[in-house]
Amino acid sequence: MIYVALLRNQWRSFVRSFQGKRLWLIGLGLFPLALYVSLVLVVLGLFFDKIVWVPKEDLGSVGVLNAHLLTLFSGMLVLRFFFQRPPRMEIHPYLHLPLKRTQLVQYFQAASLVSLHNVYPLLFFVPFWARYVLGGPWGSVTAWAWLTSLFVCLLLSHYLNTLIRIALDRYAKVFLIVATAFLGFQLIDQMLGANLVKQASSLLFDSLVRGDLLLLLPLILLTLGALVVSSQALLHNLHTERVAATQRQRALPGVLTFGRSPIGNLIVLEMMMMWRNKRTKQYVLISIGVSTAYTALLLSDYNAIFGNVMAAAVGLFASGVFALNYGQLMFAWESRYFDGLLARKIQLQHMVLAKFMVLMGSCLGLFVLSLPLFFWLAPNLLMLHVAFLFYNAGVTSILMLALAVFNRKRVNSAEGSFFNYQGFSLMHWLWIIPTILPPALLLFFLEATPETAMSFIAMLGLISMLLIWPWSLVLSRFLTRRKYLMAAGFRSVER
Amino acid sequence: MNVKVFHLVKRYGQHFALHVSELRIATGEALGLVGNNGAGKTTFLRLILDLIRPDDGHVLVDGQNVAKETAWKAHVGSYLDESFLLDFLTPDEYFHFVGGVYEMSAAQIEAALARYRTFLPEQAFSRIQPYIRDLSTGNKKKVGLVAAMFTEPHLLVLDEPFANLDPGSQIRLKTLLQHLRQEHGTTMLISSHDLGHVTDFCERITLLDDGQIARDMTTSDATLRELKHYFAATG
Repeated sequence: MIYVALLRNQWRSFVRSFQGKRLWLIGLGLFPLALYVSLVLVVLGLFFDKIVWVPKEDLGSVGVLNAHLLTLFSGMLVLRFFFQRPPRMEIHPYLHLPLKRTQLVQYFQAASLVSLHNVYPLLFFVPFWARYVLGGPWGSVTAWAWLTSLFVCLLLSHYLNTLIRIALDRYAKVFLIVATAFLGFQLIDQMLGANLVKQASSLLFDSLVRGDLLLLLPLILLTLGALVVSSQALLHNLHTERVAATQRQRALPGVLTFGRSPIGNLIVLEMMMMWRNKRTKQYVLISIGVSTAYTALLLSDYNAIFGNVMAAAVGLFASGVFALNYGQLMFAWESRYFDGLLARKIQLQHMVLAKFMVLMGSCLGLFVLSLPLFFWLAPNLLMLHVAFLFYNAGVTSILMLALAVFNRKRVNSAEGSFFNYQGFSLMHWLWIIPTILPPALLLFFLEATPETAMSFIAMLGLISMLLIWPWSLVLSRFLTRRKYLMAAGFRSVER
Repeated sequence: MNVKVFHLVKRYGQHFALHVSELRIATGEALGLVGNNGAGKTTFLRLILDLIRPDDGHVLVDGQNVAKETAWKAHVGSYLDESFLLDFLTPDEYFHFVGGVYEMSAAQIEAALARYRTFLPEQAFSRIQPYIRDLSTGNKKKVGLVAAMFTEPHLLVLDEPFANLDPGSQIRLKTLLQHLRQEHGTTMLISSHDLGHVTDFCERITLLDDGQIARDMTTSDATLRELKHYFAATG
């Protein structure tokens, strides 16, 4: 009975999440995009051998895919980490009710499986399986076993994501060590050309195709283990986080912190907020991780994967990942005390300028951090890195801040990101597309003279940086008009 | 600083959250705002501080329309709720930030805070301080109230200042508010459910009912009794 009630509530929550939104905009904007992506995946699955080079001998298309399956699932895990809502968020409102927590965890662990992340891979896997595995010479039992193994791997990555989020929340240091080791292993594997991951992937899935069905067993056991451990971890981490009341801090001398110009004071305030709140701090650390480890991973094999869009993506993320991630919520991070800021004698233009400086500073900081990687792994991309420093500081920062003025969803910056995804929606991530488009187009159309393209990209950023004063005026006018709406939105509690 | 309110209307959908035709608060006057839950007290204070936009009408603080100008903020101190606190700062850092906004030097801030030592929790003056978010509800409130008062504002706007404070702190708060009025002629707008304190401190009481001014009276010996009768009848 309780499961029916929970299901009804989830359905209501889903349906009501559309209320007050411009449905035509969602329909016009997202539906064609979703349709396009789905079609691409289905077509890729059905015509894999026409799109990807496949050797004639051995297992053909199936062998090629098998070799990349583990890498694919690792990539999906990274995507899940950034985009998938963990079930704990939904559990929280029920905790005070006389319901068994084990029941709640069981229900939400099961309900969380209804996720886009578990559906879109199937749009590729199922057509591929129907054409190449089921239609292959291995027999239907083997074919079904192979498909089952992919389902099991999807479930494994689903529950691993929940576990990873708890680990990040509770044992941040352990998480960082494991994540660094994981990325480091992938990096070394790729750089040395050892291809251990590929070999392991081939070994596992090729053996399955060849009829060694017992290999399914360890996969299933591993997934069951992940389910049990993540359920237990959820059960033991349901309490609302609080910084221990006994935690005390040495106050910074007032003159050292807030004795500056109004803009200087606001910059210091933003930095303190960033460092002293769990979620914002996590964004800083994740940005550093993406800017260094992920860039290193991409650069280590850039010859194999690079095109214009990928080059633009590396440039954009290497120095601009923090601005992209953090910038869109720049006012929302201050939801808890936005009223307090508005009630004080703080000029909105100063507020905007301070935030600009922080975002621009982050671009410079990440540029310097990732610079040795470019020197070491891809010196011929140094100019691209420099060009994107200007682009990110000048264009990305301003664009993200402009979007921040239009955001009026409350965000609780003090709670870890496992617990809360407040403020974020798919639209936040989709904004990466128009941001990356101008440099990607420049690199595409001026492919013959990439130096010219990069000069244009840098110039675009530089000009925008020089226009910081007029930009801040325009944005502070927007802010003046929208501050009531923003404050009202920030006051309302969103789970 | 005086406050004038004209035809102030705030609606949420079809519902009138507030509809005040006219209200004037003279310089140096202490006006107590009382009313049942949902009567529109906090909405009114938010409108005074330009935190929400009125659907109609306007608020003038010393002749400045609060929705169009910002200079008035330099002379206004306010504390409505915890959303006014930069809770990731320690109390000391917070006072220095607020003081900086009001262009006070570090020495001026320290001197101004001296008066509030007995009111603030001891932790607020120790070398090792907790962040504001780790203080108890009452102590958070004390930090917010002091941040509103220590800049010696000409207009002070407070929402439920006595709630969550222990009896001793309530008495000390009244003394501090009294000093502020006597020394700086601060105009005060105080919303409270504590009829005893508000009639004790304010010389004028405005009673809000369903978003409208039901009574506007000068405080006398009979006011408290009258208010108790009113709330007993409407409650």
